[in-house]
Amino acid sequence: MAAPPELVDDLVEEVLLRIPPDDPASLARAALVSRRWYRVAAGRSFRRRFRERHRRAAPPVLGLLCNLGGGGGGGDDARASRLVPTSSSRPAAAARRGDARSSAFVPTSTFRPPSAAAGPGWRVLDARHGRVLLANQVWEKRPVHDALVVWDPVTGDRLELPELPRHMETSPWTSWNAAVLCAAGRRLPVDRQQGRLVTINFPFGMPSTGWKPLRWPPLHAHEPPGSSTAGAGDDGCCDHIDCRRGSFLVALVGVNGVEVFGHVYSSEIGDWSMPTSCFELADLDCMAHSALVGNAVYFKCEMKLGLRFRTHKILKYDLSTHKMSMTHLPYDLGMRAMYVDCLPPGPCCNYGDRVVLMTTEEDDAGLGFTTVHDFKLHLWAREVGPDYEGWAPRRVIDLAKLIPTDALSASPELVGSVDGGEVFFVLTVNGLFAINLRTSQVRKVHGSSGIRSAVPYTNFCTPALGALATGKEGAGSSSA
Amino acid sequence: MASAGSGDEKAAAAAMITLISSDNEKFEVTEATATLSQTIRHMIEDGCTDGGVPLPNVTSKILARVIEYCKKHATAAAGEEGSSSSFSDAAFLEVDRAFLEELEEFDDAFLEVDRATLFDLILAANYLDIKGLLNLTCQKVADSVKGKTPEQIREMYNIVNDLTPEEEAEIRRETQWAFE
Repeated sequence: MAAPPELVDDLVEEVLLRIPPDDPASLARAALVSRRWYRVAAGRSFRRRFRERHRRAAPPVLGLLCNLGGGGGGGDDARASRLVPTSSSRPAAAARRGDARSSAFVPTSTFRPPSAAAGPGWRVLDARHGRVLLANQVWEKRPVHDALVVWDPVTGDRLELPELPRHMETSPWTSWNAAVLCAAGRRLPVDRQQGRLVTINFPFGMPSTGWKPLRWPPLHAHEPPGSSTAGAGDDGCCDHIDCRRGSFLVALVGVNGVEVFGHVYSSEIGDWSMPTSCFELADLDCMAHSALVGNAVYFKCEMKLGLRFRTHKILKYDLSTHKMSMTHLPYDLGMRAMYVDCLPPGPCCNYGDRVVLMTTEEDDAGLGFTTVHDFKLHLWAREVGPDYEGWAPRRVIDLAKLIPTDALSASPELVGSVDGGEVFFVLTVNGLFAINLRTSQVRKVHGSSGIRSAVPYTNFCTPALGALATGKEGAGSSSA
Repeated sequence: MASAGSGDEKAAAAAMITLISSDNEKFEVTEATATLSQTIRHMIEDGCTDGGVPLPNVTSKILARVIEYCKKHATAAAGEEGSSSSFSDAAFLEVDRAFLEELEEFDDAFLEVDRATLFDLILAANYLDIKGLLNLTCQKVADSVKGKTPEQIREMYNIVNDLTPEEEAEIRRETQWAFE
């Protein structure tokens, strides 16, 4: 027979496009077959088509960033994190040991982060639009240079954010939380008089010489500078399927005994904004993952009422107006029964240990929350009408029908959910289960029950143009 | 309108096209079968099929397989159109499901070929622009790659590794996690 047939670039691309996005390891190995396969897999055309082809099913959950800690108490012993993969996985070593004050990546796919930014001493705050936000726990006690770090698990890139002056403030922070999000298409909070963002370190404008904002991502020698904005359209619209290399914002909110305050960090400017504040009584739930709806980030807060009851509140931080406001979640059913005369009318909810905020549908459609009570998952959604705004129960899902009975000797705890409200992560005495409501699929993703909270890491992971980029062919494909 | 359409189809079904492989073998196929290929469809539309359609990139062995695929899928498509008028809804659904199952079985059996033939089929499907066949064959290769090492993939498909050891080591280092 003649020489073995060889596929041209277009056909190698057709083959690689059909590798499922939750199996990035197979894609990475296929890329190593030959020069041609590598060039195609790392090329921009493939990267874009791969995302477009699979985006209808939403980016896959590559893993979970877990804050570890033997269940129960908030406080110091519950402040570690790690990334837990969710498919065909060995649990990360840290997760197996179950040490407190740590975080880990628990895989739910064949993806493993190349470098471990999460780990002992780090708390996972958020993961969104391909980026992960981590907090150094030493920062609780004294100033550090890397208090907050934005981490790209696919490339291993890290960016340390400039420190906020929390240790110099007159009233110390009692609780705080933060979120990271893509900056494309979002208007920055702008000072009316000055017509620009007023920042902490450069309140009178950026110094004209000798100052450069920290660059995100760290620019690699082999990459043309323009490529970092891939995915973020010039018109400001971003579909968030390939924007992790673009500019980002970090929204930080805190309570300091006097007020609730908020700052926003812009990677483009390289600095934090001056604070905005509102006067409300509440504590931020530092283990609760925030939700993004439109231009506003929502953080969960709590307020203790006597010994028995907590009221759940939500802090809304609107990034386009730089304003904050607080709303109530439905009152606890028990509390309603006790204070029947004093509370405003409205629905009430049976809360479990945890309340998880989420966006109810894709594309930042609306705000919702979920809680587990009496072995059931309760889904609520915020309803906004022309003359009405309030909470409405949406669905109740019986976990006893989904999770094996031997895992349900105690009521399970909700530790996280994927935006869109289809996938929930429920912690039982037997470990962590992922429940997909759309497919009714239930999968055990981790054996440990020592997980405080879990933030899903959803992204597409395709090989990056590295080793061959300096060659002729590499340069050709990166500009294609 | 419907009757005019079916009349046209009957006329089209009767028309035969001759396909000529690279080793000069001739294949007579109906126009309905041949037009699953967009390339041949365009040739027919341009009226340049008299005296046969030479396909210099496709051997007789591969062309025979491709025609086998097209015949099956062309009858399936025609069957679906025909059945909609002559069956009640329930019966139609039943027939439809049976058709799809049969077609799936056919596709599975069709893909039971050696690796070199699979690549040849991809090349032919691409050249003849047959979307269904291209999807089927590429998916087969993508599935076969799952869980394999680069060495195993190279061996399976006879691919020459033209990466230098240094390049390979560097790419491996970049995605070390995928090899553990």
